[in-house]
Amino acid sequence: MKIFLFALIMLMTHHTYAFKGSRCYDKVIVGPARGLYKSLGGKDHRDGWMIKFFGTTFGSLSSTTSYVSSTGSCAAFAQIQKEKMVYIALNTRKVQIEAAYGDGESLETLAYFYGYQNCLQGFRRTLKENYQTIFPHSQDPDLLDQSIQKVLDESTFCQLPS
Amino acid sequence: MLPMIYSFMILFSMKFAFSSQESSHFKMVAWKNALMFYSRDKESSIVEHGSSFFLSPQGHRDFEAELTENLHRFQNDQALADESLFCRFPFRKYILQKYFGLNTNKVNCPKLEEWRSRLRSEKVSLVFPTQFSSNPASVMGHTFFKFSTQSRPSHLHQSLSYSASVNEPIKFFTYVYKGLFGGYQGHFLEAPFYEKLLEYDDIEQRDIWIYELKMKPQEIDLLVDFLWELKTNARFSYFFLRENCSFIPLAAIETILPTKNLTDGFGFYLAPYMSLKRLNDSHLVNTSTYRQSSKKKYIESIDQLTRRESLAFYKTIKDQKYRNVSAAYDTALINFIAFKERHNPPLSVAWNNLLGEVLLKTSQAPIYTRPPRKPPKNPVNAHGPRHLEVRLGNLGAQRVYSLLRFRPGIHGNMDSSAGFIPHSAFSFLETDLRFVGPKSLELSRFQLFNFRNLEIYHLSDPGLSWKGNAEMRKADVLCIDCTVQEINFQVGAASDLYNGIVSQLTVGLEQSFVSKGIRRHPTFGVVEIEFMRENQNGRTSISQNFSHVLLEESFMRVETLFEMRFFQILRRLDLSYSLRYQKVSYHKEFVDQNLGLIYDF
Repeated sequence: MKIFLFALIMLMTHHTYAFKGSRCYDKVIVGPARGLYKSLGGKDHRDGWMIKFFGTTFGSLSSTTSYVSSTGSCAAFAQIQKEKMVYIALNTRKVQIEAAYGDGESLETLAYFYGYQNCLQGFRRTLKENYQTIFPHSQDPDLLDQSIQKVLDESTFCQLPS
Repeated sequence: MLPMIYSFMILFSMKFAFSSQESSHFKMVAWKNALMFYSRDKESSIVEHGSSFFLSPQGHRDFEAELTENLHRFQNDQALADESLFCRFPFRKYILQKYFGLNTNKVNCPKLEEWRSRLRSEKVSLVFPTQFSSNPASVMGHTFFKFSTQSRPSHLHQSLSYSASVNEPIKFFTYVYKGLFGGYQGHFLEAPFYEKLLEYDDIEQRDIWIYELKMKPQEIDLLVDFLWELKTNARFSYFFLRENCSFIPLAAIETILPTKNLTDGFGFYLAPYMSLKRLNDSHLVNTSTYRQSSKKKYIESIDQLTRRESLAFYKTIKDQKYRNVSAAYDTALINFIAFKERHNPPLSVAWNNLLGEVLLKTSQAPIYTRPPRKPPKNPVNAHGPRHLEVRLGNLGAQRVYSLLRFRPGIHGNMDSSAGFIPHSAFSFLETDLRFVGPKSLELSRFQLFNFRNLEIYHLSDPGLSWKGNAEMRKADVLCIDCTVQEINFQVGAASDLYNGIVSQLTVGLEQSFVSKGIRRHPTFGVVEIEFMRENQNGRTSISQNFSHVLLEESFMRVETLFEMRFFQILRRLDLSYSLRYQKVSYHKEFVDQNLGLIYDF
């Protein structure tokens, strides 16, 4: 019985962590921004224009970026996290512009990645209202992700599903 | 009574025999479609011979041998998981099971399931990024599949496109040769939709049309399975003219919906917009959605500025200093800088700071809604690519003639711009046969090619327009009975003057040969000014051309061409009027005017 209870608690805890992702952040791997697309599973034949776009748009930023390993129990979360980081890296400017307007398809996509697709209006409004906090100066995808996550964690516009 | 019963029995048995024949024919059509028997005569597959797509060595040409081999191999298939025929050919399995009585085994197919889960969708669309004149392969546009599901936002929908795999540095002649004669391999490329938007909208600045297809969920599942077979087993040669990015998706849809005849009757080429017209004519298009390119968005936002806003905008572009003017000014500035960044990255520090400033200001303002815009004409309403015209006219005062014109493709100067870049043209092999009097028939004009790309000049984005053609014609100001061969190329700038009237000024070079005797007149400078306007009812164009001709002596040739076209005056018939007036400096004149009826099909 004790074992069963322990297993149940572990299972619940795991699910909560997996959803919120904080446990899965432990598996972060650091790599250079320029190689992000390819290292996250980008296809070689796309490199021509993608690296050009990537290299030229983000090339001046010598920052590092991160992604989550897709192994182990966090696989589902990691997959979304991986997809999210590629998306942010390739659409940083678009996200910035749409966040300033508080409207646009990129915000809809981000709302999906951060688990707020059911509170889309609130998500858009929050990003617009916190524009200055989220977009200080840098275009670093990592920093952008962390800033958005921080703003969302601190806001109460949408009750997260338990 | 008895004869009646006999006749009824005969009729019944005939009906049964016919329906049985029909059903057997239908089965074979479904089977041949599954093998991609879409060559022009439908006697062979467009999948390459020797590809693992065929189980029989003769499968590429002999669908019956392939059927026998498939039934045998499927029934005796011992392979496990992904290697199993049931996993490699899920659509073929469905056809064999449904029409040819194959007993199927339950096999676990991890790779296939992964594919299905990625492309699982409630809706499927065909996406059409419009023409892109900077790349010869995209000059007519492109099409690809988009698989949509409500559970994910549009940017994350999966796309699948078929294109040529070019893995070598592009050399123009090799590229054209291999493109025309199948020197490149065709391949399927899967990507999230936002990657396609980055490529076609952000980088190439092309408008995008999305056509949601009328397909049931089960049909979409079968399409996904069939595309898996093609992607993983089939090897294609890519042909730019016919078996291209539009033909393969069309063939795949026809395979799933064999009662729809989607691939027949295209002749030797298929431009992407033609496949959309075919889908629309076959009642397979549910809805169409237009996505304006980022370039058009920013040009439109500049066009909407008032004079005061516009002045401030251009001052800001000059000195990169933000001015507090209006929300429309902010939007134009944001669109301009974003476009500039995509076009020529990275932004300088000054531009980056300016963008930061204007975005911060925008984030503090209430949400600004752009005024609604009218989408351009839908490409499914584009004219047919082939052009047939009958004209009646006179050369000078006396010579009355009738003329028959045919053009196999694609888009001429005076055609409606629905589905094309406005005021553009791309046509070839236009041929005029002229009857002067009852017995005289002559080839009066043959145009090898004609192209035109008109780009409205903006101070913020100066782009050039260009045009050119090569043709042979009879009757010119230089001589009525000689033949003139001419090739010319011109570059210039175009401007949107007022209320849809567009003007274009071009300068260029022209080389002509007059083949009566041994005359030859290299025409150096050509200057041409043209005004054109198009609305729903028709199109008008007037052009004035000045060229400097060197014959025995040097002289100036002036040509005025006035053309009008009235769209669809009678069902699918257009009416045209043309007046050409030529004059050379020693007062010789030439007038050619005619009235014509046009049928594009």
